[in-house]
Amino acid sequence: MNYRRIAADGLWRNNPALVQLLGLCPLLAVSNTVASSLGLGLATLIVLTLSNLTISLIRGFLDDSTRLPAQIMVIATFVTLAELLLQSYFFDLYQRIGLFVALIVTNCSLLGRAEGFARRNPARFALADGFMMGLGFLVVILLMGTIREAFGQGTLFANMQTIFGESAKDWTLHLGNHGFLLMVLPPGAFITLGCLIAARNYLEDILGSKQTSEQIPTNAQPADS
Amino acid sequence: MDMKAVVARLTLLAACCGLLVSATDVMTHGRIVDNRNRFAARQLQAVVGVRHYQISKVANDLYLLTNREGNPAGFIFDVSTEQGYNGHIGLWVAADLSGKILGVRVKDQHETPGLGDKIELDVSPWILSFNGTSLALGDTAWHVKKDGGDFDQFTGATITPRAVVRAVHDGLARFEAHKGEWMTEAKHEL
Repeated sequence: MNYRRIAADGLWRNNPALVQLLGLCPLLAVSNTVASSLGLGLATLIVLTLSNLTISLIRGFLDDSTRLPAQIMVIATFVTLAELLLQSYFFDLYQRIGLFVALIVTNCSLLGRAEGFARRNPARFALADGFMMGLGFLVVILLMGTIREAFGQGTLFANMQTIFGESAKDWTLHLGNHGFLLMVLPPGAFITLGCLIAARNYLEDILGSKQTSEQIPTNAQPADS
Repeated sequence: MDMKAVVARLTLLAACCGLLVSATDVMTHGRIVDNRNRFAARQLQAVVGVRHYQISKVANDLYLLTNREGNPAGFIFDVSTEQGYNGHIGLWVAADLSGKILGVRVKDQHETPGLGDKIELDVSPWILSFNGTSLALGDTAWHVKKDGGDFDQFTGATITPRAVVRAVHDGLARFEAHKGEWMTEAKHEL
């Protein structure tokens, strides 16, 4: 186990959104603009890092029969904290994505990482894994937000003031195209995600054929969320 | 690990989690309430725009407008419809005492982004077309143009503006029917 491998797993080889296909509910629902993608991606990143760290720290404290309820409790606690803090410091953003923050609890990548990694690894690796998986999720949801906003609304960085304050009001770029409505609607989310998965697999094939010498076993979990 | 130890440890963990959540709740509660109130006040202020009125609460979803001289000038009230393309649309309507609309703003809606959401002022100035109108326009005028009325529909979306025009019209009718009562209530409350 080393940090390089953890980073490669989270960002590429075992990316939570593109390979494990975990956390699809928030990924598809909130990725219609850059601003809301960034908000939810960051919230997920923070919650995942903290929950992984905590679950690793208490791993010797609980036995097998109670570890699942305990893990869910830890995750639910951090999500509730995130919700309260968002409401008190980023109220406008909360108005937009509040409904989906609560859904981070149901983001299977959290429980997936708790079960698949944090409960059998030392805290420093669990922390790194949570951060890298969260970053992998953030990158993908941001990509989806960028693509869907650009094609669907013909803008980029609209409503960034919900995260960065009033000064971000002029960040909106108008790309000069009319929005292609489908991309903002739910089907656009599925289409964009499908294209991203295809692109990743294509790249993986090209890269894979160059370095077939080392076959690395992944610890991918079945997609059940 | 025996059963008792397991229960004890799980309880301890639950207590820690509970404590953490309660502590954060206590710390953030004031700020959250402030945020909500400020948000609601900003929404109400936006309905009357730049005109200077003092807004005071009379009842739930009913606010009295007082002009600079301190005289009652109108009301802001809540109107809603379930006839939107995706169901519920909530609106704030401000009207002066003669029944003329000072402003209409969307409170909450789930209309299709890019089509029905043109009722939001952020997206399109359409909602301003209610300013200055009143029931005096006559019943036929209170429809979208497609139905022979005065109000524009949106390209590709008629259901949303039709629902909003209907709702504002019915809201004005309710205002005309009840404004006497509301005035009494306001004098009593304030």
